[in-house]
Amino acid sequence: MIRWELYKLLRQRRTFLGLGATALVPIFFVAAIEITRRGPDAGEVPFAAQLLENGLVVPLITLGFATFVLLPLVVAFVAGDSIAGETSAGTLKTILGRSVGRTELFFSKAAAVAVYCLVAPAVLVGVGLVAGYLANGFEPLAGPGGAPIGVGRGIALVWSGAGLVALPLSGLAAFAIFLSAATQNSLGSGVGAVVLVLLLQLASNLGLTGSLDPYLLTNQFEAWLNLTRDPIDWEPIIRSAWVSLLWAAAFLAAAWAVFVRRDVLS
Amino acid sequence: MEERDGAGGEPVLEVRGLTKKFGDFVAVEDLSFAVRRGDVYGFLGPNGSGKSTTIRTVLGLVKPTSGEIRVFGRPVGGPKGREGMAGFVDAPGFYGYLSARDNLRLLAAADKRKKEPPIERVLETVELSERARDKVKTYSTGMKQRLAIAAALLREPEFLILDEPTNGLDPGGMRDVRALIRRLAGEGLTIFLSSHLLAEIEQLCNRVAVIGRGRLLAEGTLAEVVQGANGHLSYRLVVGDAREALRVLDRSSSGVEASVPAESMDGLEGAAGEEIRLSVGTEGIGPVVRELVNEGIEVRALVPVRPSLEDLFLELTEGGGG
Repeated sequence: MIRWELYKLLRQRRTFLGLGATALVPIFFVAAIEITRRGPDAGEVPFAAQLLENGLVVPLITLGFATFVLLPLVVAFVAGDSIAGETSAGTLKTILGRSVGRTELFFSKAAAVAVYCLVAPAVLVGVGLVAGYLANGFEPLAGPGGAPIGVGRGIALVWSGAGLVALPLSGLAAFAIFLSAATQNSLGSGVGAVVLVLLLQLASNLGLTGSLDPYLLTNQFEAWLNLTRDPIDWEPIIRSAWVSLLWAAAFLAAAWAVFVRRDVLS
Repeated sequence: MEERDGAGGEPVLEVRGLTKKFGDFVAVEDLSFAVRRGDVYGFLGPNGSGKSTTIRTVLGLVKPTSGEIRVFGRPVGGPKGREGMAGFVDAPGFYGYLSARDNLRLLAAADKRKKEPPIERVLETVELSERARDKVKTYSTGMKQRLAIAAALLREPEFLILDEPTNGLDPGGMRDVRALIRRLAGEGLTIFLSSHLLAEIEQLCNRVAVIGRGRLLAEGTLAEVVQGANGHLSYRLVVGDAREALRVLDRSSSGVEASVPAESMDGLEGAAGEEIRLSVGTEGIGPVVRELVNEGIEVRALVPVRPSLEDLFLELTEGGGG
């Protein structure tokens, strides 16, 4: 069933609207700096100093930027549709009339959404690498510690960063799937998940979260930046990974419990 | 179990004491009936009477509040409970952005059978082969209904559940779907056909359950249900002289009720004359005819009038018959 869930994702316009928006970000970004020849002030954003001469910086900066709103938004709307979309289209009753069990169907859907959580940041950095290379070519990165990072390791860093961003995205997607199962409203579930992101960011910025702050889902999106340290600082990366997976597991379990019990009425 | 006419094999679907509540609303209340192998079983009720809720519980989409449902002796609910059974409820739901063939391939994958699914054959059965590559969102209502039947047949079921399969079809589409149902019944499938169209049930079904407001109002063979509803039989009688015949019947002690219909329905062929409507009790039509003939009334034709399912239905659902 996973194969079919992925196929369905592949055939829906919503999927590509999200990925298209994601792909446009690095393209606009490169276009903008080519036109203005100005980047953000050095120090505000990691790697900003090299922006005008090193294409390898483009995927890194756009990834950092996209984790605030764009990637959560794109993932929330696909995940929010995963169950509610089938309920409103009346396809859930069709598929559940077959031999597949509800648990299997649920986890097939969750797996397809997880793949999407990985593909969205991958598209972002993939397009970012190409756009950056075409604009300025690649040069070694000036790491935050001053030690330069070679082009090969830099490219590996870009992809690993995208992979790590997929973890908190999965946590958010699980929340959207839970809303999707519980409310049976596709749009509302997407909006609800985005609202969660904004609220957590707000609470964290206002300092309301206190000692819980390191465990907020939204504070896991920057853990990948630790990959740029030399040597790599693994501790925050590992903590971010399990915190993200905990969020994902908790909301997936809740969503599953709702999904297997709920009467299918449309 | 007693042998009934028509079919009468082992029970395929048994519903016992089914009740489903949504909050305070009772959708189905203490519903019991059985569908036997070979039946084309009509499930008749007005919209909102609990038909769809009942079918959803049978398909395992909705959990009963109480009661028991067995299909082929197995309790329904999980995937095991759906073995040998296929069908649909309410308007068919398909992935509009996929082709009909892709929809069927997906459903076949969800069926988890080792055997190669007969996708092309079922498409042919419902005459959709030529449009199988088109996205389902371009389909008409009738085509979606046919695709829903194809999707059900894809499971090669022994027991087929069809919920208002002719809903939204034009007359030609209805005729085609009914012909298909007849053919499938002829091939030995047991069919559960839900409908609010009386003619459809009359044409296709050997047994029928009538429900209204979630409760069972009548159950049995068509003849049993029809007779059980009003307990008397009606006849159309063509005589040489209706006025004379009415005079005879008025004097009669046979308990017959006679009337001249406001308009003769379609005229009984080959029996020109004047028509009378008779309604007789349990003693039957025999004594009445004998009396008429003895009094010199010329009896030219006698035709039993089966009360239409429509009359019956209205009587059951509205006339305090619940």
